[in-house]
Amino acid sequence: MLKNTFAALAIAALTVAASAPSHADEALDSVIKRGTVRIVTLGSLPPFTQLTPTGEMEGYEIDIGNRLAKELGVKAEFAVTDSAGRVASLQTKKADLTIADFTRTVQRSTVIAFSDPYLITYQQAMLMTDSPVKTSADLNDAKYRVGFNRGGVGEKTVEKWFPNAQKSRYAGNADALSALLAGQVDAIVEDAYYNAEIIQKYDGKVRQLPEKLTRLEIAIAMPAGNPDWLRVVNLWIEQFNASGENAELFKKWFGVEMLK
Amino acid sequence: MEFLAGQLRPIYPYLGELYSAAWTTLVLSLGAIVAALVLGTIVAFGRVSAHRLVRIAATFYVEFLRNIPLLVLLYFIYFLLPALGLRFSPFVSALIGMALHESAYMTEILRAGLSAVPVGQYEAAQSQGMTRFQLQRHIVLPQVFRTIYVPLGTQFTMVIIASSLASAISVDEVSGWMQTAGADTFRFFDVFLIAAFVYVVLCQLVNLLHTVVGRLLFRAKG
Amino acid sequence: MDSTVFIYAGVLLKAMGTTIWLSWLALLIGALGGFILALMQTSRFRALRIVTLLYTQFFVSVPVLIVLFFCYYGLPRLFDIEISSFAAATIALAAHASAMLSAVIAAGITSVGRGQWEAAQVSGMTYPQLMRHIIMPQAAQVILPPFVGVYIRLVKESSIAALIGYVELTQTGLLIRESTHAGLAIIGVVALLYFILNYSISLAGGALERRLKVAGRPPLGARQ
Repeated sequence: MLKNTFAALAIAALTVAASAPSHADEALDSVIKRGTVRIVTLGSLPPFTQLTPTGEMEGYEIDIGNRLAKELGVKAEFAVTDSAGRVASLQTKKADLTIADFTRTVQRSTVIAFSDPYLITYQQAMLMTDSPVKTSADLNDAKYRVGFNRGGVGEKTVEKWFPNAQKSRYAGNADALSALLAGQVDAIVEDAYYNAEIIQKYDGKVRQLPEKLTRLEIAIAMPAGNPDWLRVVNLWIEQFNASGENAELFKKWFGVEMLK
Repeated sequence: MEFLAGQLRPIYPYLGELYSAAWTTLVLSLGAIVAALVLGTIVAFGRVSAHRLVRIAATFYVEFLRNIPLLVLLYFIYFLLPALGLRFSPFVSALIGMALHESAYMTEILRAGLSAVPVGQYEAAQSQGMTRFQLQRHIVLPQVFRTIYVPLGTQFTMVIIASSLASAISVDEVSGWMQTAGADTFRFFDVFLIAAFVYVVLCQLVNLLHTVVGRLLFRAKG
Repeated sequence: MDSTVFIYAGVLLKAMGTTIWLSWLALLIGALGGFILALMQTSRFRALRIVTLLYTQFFVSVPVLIVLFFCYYGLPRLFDIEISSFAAATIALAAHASAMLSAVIAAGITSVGRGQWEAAQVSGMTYPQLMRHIIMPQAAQVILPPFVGVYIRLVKESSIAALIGYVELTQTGLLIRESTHAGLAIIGVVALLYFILNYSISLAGGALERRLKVAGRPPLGARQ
């Protein structure tokens, strides 16, 4: 009698164990279990993210992170990294998400997963106000030199729109800007919001060409191989966009209407 | 082998650029070392000059350039000089920076070579009625060149290594290639190995050339 | 030049401290590594000697800049670890330093005359005692000038950490450039600071060298 009961219990236990979800989504699971979602941002890219005088983070992307965490029923934990660190932190599983002005490209998506975009922007060319260049077509000339950030989307933009121009690759936005100001390049390509910031800061010394070049889809990135995590984040993004919440938040931080 | 080919496939599209990058590295280094030799010779003479002010100026030149990082010098030439009216292309800026930097070391090497020329040579030449310039050209410089030829080889490889910094001022050389290809393909280990391999090959080629030319030039000495 | 330069004096000095710290750390770790390599180089085992040779030759033929990029971008992917720019810079610089110092330290060890070794063996010293009391003090004299040279080189080399975003002297200068309009002049100031730093180190090294020469006369069983 006892033996049979024991056997029955054992079989029951094994059945339960076998039917348990076969290694469910790691990322989603660990986020829920831990009660926090670890988000990585760029740190100082107003108004996406910036540091308050009291040492906390605030900004458009911080708000996005907090709202997503709230919907998931967890707390958001923010960390700062640089451009390269965005991919590295996901690959090493030190972060669950990056919300870091990250443009999604097919090449990048071979190593990490991107959500649907939460922001659309464009790369545009920026040049000195007194430059003789009038339109983007003018710039496509071998006598001009265009600068951009290495390893970013700028390479494709220049190849597509200014194939005849000379290329200068720089280690960062700051170097590219310095090159423009020093006259070492005739134009640089950056995203439109960056350009707007710089134009304002340099008070008329630089201007932007109106043509919208490469379309940039800014999206949330997460470690590859976590389909449930991706599914959940995408659902949230869809609703965030559709409800108008995104447009509202954007207006709050950027002061203008979002691009479609 | 199949595995290796598969691993490297993402990098294939970038190999064309690697070829031109390697040439850039080589040409840049060659130009820099030649310019450094010229500059170094001038300053070396300055270092042993009879005029005190000239000696001080030469010493300051050497000490300043030996103690600042090449990277800072490159930034200075490429980003700052335009504000003072001197704008050079990335390649030329890198060449100037590397030449200046290297000339400081060249000066010391040449100075040692200069002082190795026996005093008797000078007297013998003067008794022959040679002018000072003829003296330098026919007697001194060839001997100095022979003395410094060996260290010249090491310096050349050091210049090739130093050229990696030119990527910071947008020169498309080998380390710049590594950064771009790596950022695009995420195959950082592979591009590193390839870039390292290119540098090793370049250095070895230069060494080989140096040895061969050395044997040809100084055949008598043996 | 802008007066902003003077406002940033404090920041620049702090950055100088960071540079000194980074290069000093790389020197220490490099010295440790160099010491081990030197022992390998002067050992009886051919395999060890070959390994040392490959390692040092690598750093003579490959720029430390690409080693740095590999440490910062490649290592995290390879070993699944997170590496800060500080860690990557320290690793790359220390690795280079150990290659440079291995030859120096090996020369120092072998510079001590045979007689010293034999005299010590006869006196019954163990290998560690021998190293500590007889060999290293004399080797130190030979090692010091090149050591100072390597340190100066490391201080200059530490500037490449700026290219992976580590905030040392060069990167600080570049960041200040961003914050002020006439910021490019700051590069000149940075160059000057490096010059002052390195020149002082070489002067100090020279002074130390002279003091060692007077004090460090070989004990018993001198010149063979």
